[in-house]
Amino acid sequence: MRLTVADFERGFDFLLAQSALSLISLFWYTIIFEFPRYGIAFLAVAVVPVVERRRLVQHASDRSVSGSKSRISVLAVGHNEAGSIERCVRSLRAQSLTNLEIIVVSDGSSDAMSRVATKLTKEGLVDRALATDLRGGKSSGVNLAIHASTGNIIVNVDCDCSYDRFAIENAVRPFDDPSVGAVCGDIIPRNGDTSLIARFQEIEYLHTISVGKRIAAAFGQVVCVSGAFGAFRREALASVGNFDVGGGEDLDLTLRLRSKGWRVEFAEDAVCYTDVPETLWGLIRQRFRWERDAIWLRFRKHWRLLHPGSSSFRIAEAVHQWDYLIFNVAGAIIFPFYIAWLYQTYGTSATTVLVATQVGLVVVDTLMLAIAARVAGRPALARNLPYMLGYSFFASYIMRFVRLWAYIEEFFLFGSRRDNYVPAKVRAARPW
Amino acid sequence: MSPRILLVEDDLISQDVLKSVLEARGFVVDAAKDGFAAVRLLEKRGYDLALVDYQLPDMDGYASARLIRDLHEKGGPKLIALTANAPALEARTGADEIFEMILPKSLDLPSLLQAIDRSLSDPRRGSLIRQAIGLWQERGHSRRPPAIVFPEPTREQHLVLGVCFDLVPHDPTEVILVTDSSVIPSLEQIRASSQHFLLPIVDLSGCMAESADVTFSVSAPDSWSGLAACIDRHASRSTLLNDHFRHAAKLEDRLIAYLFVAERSLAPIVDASKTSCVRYSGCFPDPEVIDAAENLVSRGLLVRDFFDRFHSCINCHSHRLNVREECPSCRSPYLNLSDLLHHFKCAHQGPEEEFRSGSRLLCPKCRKELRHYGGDYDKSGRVLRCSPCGTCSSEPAIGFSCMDCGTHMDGDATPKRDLFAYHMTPRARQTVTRSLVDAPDRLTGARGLLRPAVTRALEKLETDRRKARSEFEVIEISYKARDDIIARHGLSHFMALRALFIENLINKLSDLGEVLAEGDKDYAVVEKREDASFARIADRLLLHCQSSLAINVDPAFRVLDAKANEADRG
Repeated sequence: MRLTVADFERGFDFLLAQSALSLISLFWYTIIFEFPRYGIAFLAVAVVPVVERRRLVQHASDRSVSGSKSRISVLAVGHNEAGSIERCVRSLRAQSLTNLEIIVVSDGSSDAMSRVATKLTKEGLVDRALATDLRGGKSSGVNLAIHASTGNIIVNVDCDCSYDRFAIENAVRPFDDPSVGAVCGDIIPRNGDTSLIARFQEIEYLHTISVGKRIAAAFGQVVCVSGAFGAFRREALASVGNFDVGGGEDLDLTLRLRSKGWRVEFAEDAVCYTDVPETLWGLIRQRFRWERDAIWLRFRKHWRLLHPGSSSFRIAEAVHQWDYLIFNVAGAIIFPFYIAWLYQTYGTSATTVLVATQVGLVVVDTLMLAIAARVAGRPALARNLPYMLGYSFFASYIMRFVRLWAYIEEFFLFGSRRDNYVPAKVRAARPW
Repeated sequence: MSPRILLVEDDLISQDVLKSVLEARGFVVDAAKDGFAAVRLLEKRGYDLALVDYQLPDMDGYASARLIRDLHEKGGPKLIALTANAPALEARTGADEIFEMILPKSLDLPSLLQAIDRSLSDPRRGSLIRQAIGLWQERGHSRRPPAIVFPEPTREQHLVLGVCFDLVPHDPTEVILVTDSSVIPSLEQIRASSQHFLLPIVDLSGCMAESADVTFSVSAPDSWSGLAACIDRHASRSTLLNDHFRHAAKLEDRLIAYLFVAERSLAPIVDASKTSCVRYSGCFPDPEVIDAAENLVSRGLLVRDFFDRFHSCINCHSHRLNVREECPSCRSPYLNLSDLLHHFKCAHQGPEEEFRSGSRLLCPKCRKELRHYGGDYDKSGRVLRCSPCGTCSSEPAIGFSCMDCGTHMDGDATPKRDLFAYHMTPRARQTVTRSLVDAPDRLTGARGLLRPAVTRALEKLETDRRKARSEFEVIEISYKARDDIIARHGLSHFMALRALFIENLINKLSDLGEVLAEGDKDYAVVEKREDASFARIADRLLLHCQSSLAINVDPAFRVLDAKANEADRG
């Protein structure tokens, strides 16, 4: 089907000729699956500053005692991370809090990781280094590290990340509230300049983590303490038996902590820097894994959170489960049907409808970027403005289909069971 | 029946005193005032022993004794000479054979009684002594070597040693006999403060190894020869010493004199009975001997040779440390190797002890039983598990525990100490033998105190810049915070700071001079300039070199000008 300028002119006239009711019937997908999210975001931006101010006042009053009364253990667990573990440990030793207990676990590494960790132990940079001969996966490694640690606050970090000087001090501050069981830090890509794909992820992280989790925290809806940087109360971890078998162990642990009644906070000023995939294929593979894990955890392992008759059912948990089911899963499944329906019903004018939708989304996304940059307090607007058109298209037409494929693969083909992120012996024994 | 003693003494007071003492001890004593009276008494009755004064009227003690010996070839009394002039009597032909012992006349009574007891106890003793003298004569010695014994010999030891050596303590003593190595502290005292500090120490115990100068065993002919050679060497080389060193008072002078006389090096010997685990050859007092040797090194009289590195206690400086693998958390050495079990289903991973429930394996997290190795669980590795606190680690901490004072130290913070062997330099041989009148400045001048490397650098700079007629000053740099930094952060940390400091100093001095690290101190050899002597700019310079260091080493300097007086600054 060839589109000409005349087709667009005709389509434009067609749009102008529609009544309000007709426009709703044309843009129903956007109205149902896109607008509510933006609406909530705009609303939240109005509410969050009030909540933030309240939290800031509380923090300021607690600042003098925070961190000093807790013993903090930092766990860096990795497999074949010889190249990055030293940088990670040195960044941890450069933290504003100096009395950290740092524990490194080499999970069955075949490279020099355990040797590097031993060297760092001898230099006094690492308090304890443990190494296993067989790889057991991140969960078992972290559990071993928790066992070897002595702190009452456990900070889990990734070996390939580095940290802002005040990251840990800020991450542990919310624990002054005894109901807080876990705190999630902000994650910022440090390689956004290396490729277009990395730049898109920088914008995405700004939206979904820096601002998205800030909003989620205001409503008590932080459902995943990222594996790259999260802090936990030892008592809270013990109440759920520490980490369960992965993947998606960070989401799983957070869901279990929430189920036990622990509050999960977001520390927007606890910043972790990470490298994101620089190629499209690398990103797709990562997202396949994340989305597949999300499906098996949310709807296989923790399906009871959706079931009103279950003893573990709670409104707060049902909200994020339904939110994910409607806006992520249903939105991705329905999108191809919506496009097919548009073209079947309106012929070439459907293209105009889609372009108009995209133009609208670019405008809203740009507005969101401006707000996000302001809320996050980072100079992200001017830096990312030229990429908004591409980002909007990328999010709608590439990542949505990637998600769709991951959902299909997981629902029908149990793709997560073939994911090599977790060793085969563990996958085979995984109960769900 | 009581032994009979004939006392031949012309001085009636001495005769009365000795007679009453001996009679009080149960001896039957007859006295004669000269040799003829003695012969007459001997014709009337037999005596077991005759005490003969050397200085007798008409016929001296030597002639009287010969007469007695000639008249009584068999069955005559044993003869002991009493004299105030032992060398004169010893010089007489055959005196050693006629007299069993030659005792000084000023001898204290207990020693005399001991000598009499010894003489009367063995009828074959005289013959044995004569044989021993024969053995010494074969090795070039006309008599048995006069010796003093440490510790005080038992009666039995005295009897045996008295055959081979002349144990009567009169000068000149030639050897110090040691029957038990436990008396080394007494020997150290002799080296440090006695006039006998140059004498060879003879090991009779077989336990002193290189600490002694020579070993001696009655049954080993070689050891007789070795001892004779050693006595000759000490005697002959002592005569080469100048007066200053022959009668030295300072320990370092005594040490260098001894090393010259003994022709040996100051060598460390491993000895676990000492807190330093090392004693030095020659039986000089430890640790003062090390300071003395280091001073001699700085004077260019000794060179050192690395022996070993010891960790020492931060509290009592003992080297007797127990090196242990310890728990990084509680420092207990009670670590056991444990298998790590990984339960696949719930991701719990921990030491096997925590899974053990009798003969069963139960996961401590989910309480499921682990039955199927490879299916339910596997052993992912091994860890060191601390029994007291339960902490696991793959890499134990290293700790030191002092066996003497019980102090515990972390491996990194434990100070290290290097020990050296010391050898004489040709310059030392010249120094101890040269007349002091010839070159008094060489011993006392500031340049003589410089370490050899510094002296070499100074001479090289002076040679290089002779045309410019430059003068140089030597600055010794020490670090006041050294001990404190080593105690807190370990020697390696201090050495790193010191290296950085020196690098800064080298950069700052540029081509004005050279910086050298020698032992515990650093030295800067710098060109002397009228407009800016080192002492004037030093405070600022050291402050600058210190400024980039994380910890203040607190440098202090001292100008060691080869000509001018020394000046201390800090």
